[in-house]
Amino acid sequence: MKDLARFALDEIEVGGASYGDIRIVQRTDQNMSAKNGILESNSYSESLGFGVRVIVDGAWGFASSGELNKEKISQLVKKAVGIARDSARYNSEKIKLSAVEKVESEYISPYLIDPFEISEEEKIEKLLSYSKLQMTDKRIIIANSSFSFRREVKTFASTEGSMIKQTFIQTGGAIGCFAFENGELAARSYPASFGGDFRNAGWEFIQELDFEKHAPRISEEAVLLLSAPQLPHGRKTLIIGESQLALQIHESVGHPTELDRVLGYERSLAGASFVTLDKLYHLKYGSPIVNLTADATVHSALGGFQYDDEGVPAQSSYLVKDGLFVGYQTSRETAPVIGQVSNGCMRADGFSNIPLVRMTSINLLPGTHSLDQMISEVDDGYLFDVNRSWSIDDKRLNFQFGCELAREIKNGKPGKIFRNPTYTGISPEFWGSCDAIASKEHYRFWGIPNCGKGEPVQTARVSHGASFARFRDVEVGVGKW
Amino acid sequence: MVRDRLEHFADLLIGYSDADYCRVNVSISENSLTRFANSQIHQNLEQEQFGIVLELVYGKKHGISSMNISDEEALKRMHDRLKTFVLSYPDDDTFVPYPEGGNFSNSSKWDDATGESGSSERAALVGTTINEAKKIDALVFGSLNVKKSFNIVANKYGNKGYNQNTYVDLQVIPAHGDNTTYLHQFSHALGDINILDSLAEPLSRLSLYKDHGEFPSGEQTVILEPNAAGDMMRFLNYMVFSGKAYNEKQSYISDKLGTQVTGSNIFFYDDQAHPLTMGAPFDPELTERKKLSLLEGGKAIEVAHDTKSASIAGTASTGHALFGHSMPICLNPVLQGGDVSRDEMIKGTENGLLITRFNYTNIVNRKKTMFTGMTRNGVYRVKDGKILGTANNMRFTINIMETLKKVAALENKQYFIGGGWFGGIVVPSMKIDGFNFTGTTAF
Repeated sequence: MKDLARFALDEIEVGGASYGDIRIVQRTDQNMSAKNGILESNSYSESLGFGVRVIVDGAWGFASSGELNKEKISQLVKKAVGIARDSARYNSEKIKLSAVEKVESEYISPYLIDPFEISEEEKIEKLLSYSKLQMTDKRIIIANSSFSFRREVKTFASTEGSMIKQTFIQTGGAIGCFAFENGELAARSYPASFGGDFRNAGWEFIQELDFEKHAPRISEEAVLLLSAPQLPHGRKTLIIGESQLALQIHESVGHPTELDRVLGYERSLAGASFVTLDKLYHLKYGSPIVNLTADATVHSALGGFQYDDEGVPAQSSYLVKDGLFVGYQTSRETAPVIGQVSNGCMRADGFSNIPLVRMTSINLLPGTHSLDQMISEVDDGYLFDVNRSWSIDDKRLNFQFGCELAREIKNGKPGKIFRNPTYTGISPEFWGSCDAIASKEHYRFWGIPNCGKGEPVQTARVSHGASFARFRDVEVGVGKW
Repeated sequence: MVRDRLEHFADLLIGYSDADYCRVNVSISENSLTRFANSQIHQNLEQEQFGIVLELVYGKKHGISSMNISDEEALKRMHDRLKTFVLSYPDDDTFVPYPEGGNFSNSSKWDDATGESGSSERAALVGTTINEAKKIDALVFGSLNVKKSFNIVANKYGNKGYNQNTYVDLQVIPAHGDNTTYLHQFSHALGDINILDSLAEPLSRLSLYKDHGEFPSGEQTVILEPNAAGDMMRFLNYMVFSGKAYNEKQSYISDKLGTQVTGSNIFFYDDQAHPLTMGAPFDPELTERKKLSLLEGGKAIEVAHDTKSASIAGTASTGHALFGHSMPICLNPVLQGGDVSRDEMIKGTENGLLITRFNYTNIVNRKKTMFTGMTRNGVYRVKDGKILGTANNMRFTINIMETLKKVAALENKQYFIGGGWFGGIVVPSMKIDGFNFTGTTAF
């Protein structure tokens, strides 16, 4: 691969580009799912290809192909150069890249047991058993389980002299069930919904998730939800569970602090951001206990790596410090706009896409409360658990989330459960109402494998460090049910 | 010929197989995209993609493998590995054998000039857009996507289905600061895009900016323009009309077929043959896509089935399978139009909102068709039959089925709205009394 990468760099220089890079990416995915104790699907996919990115006349051109040989590389370098020249016809603001040290490196993400070395028989036996363990009641009409495994080898080389090879092993798993009775349908999932939880890890992550323990619990809760009352509308104190809090961070902090959105680069699809440049060091994003970081240095987290897709080293930087907005997620192109150098957030999905500013691990740093203490301080509120729905406006201000289950808290004690819980708010007001964050004993990284952004839409794997957090005076029970 | 190359790979893989059944999907595409922001081209790319998907069935054991590598040695390796894996799987007692299927020749919507176009043609069209907006000191944001795709499905019975398409998707957001409007056009031919004519209305709407601020939450009369109506109806299609969701009690109409579920003015079909749609006439099981009457005068009539879901429901496949997914779905939904123009809808509105499109819509509760999202790129206050100006964007949280009982009028023209999950949809504008807003935002 390195020889082909060097060949591409030579071609880029011959083509007259002022900068160029190539990424060669080889990816293997296995996705398995079972339903009601039967193997529903088990698919393998393999891909290999390259993407070349060049700057000519101060503008970008990019071309990619799954046909990896010198002839195709030479052809696509020429194509990328031609595309860049056409871009330059309508690009008066010439691209300037922030500086980066050239580096030669090889890296393998942490794992103990390669999931691709586990026999098919063992994977299937576990998958089927986790599905069956949820079938504890005749009202459970669907009991799902799923595993996902990925091996990805990325080779990056640039005309500035970097040559980086990174290998990632990633594992995810989930269980989830539906209960049905009298026209009512209730869902519960573990450890999270929509594919579950993911990590830079091997088969040991499936073992750690301990599905045997949680399968009977979620099926029991799904049945209980069938007769639970609808959550009423009101304004209440809200404690948000860890996996839902991860998504709250994702939507209301992660996306708005991507500097490319702020600069309008994503306005045509995903939207812009309320965190405009004038807000830097001025906006009160949250209460003084709110501290949020972009941290790619936790290598076991799904958003962890050694170098981003521009060869910038993984970093940890504050986005919000003591409630004040202090930083963006940046790239080599966007960082100079605010007089900075890239903090290493530029990544692409596979070989065929251009790199974009993408979340790494966006984390709400832990506080000092225990969960019991957080609950004991609530007179009238709810604890919401596991996401079911999400939506936010195109500047990332007005959000609305739905969860699978709400547990009432009255006079400091947990009480009955409610179904179809929803809550809504405005991002900085909501984070400003945060008055307690659970301690590091409750803190962990949650992997989100399907963050969509860009055109053509790319899917990024990101993560969020989160524990429990408490918010005051939140609107809950939205809509007419 | 691209078709010959696709057939070669399909025949090769089927030739390797001793399975009871095997099928192959081979595709080649070239995807070109020019993005612009702040009236500058900032991203510009061309992607060549090759993909092959193989499914093998031995008795009640089955599995799928895919790859993008086109050399014969790799394909043989993929086949042999998949065969080994499938034979090690337990029997799937719910498996239903696939049909023999039929033969389908080229069903293309193809334009040679579009197929031959490149970054220069895209830059020229984007440049015209930028220059036109500049005349009124507006910035433009958007993208121009040109795609050509070639696809073949083949099975062990010797049946094949082939189609090739060109596809153009132009999206433009003109902006004066926070005040934005929207243009989204689709065609199979780049030459069909008349940017100067198309941009006239979105650019003129920028002058409507008068900041009518927040509009109150609660039920309002709305006129949903096609992009908004299409978003809502696309989610309804996904939530309700899959035979799998129907069988698994997850659909609103599970156990309600034949009953009145919306207003009597709603006629919703799946119709691959509709002149505005762009899909293939066959599914990956090589079954012809049947025209479905989903809602007929507000009554729930049919759902989409593949072989498996049809077997569970005790009926026949309607030709709505997806390759590798046990989830049949309508790919060519069409909402029938009405008898009034959009201008007449506006003139007949005493107090309401004209809505350009929605943003980040999502399902709140599938079974109940609860749906939420924000408005985007233009919410206009309509008073006494006239558009007064813009209001702040708003959040809605609605039950779609209940909302479809309150449709006061449908436009007498239909539009193809592409993009999004599972292809495009054909819809008119919709006037709805009692559309439930639950919040607002600051812009």
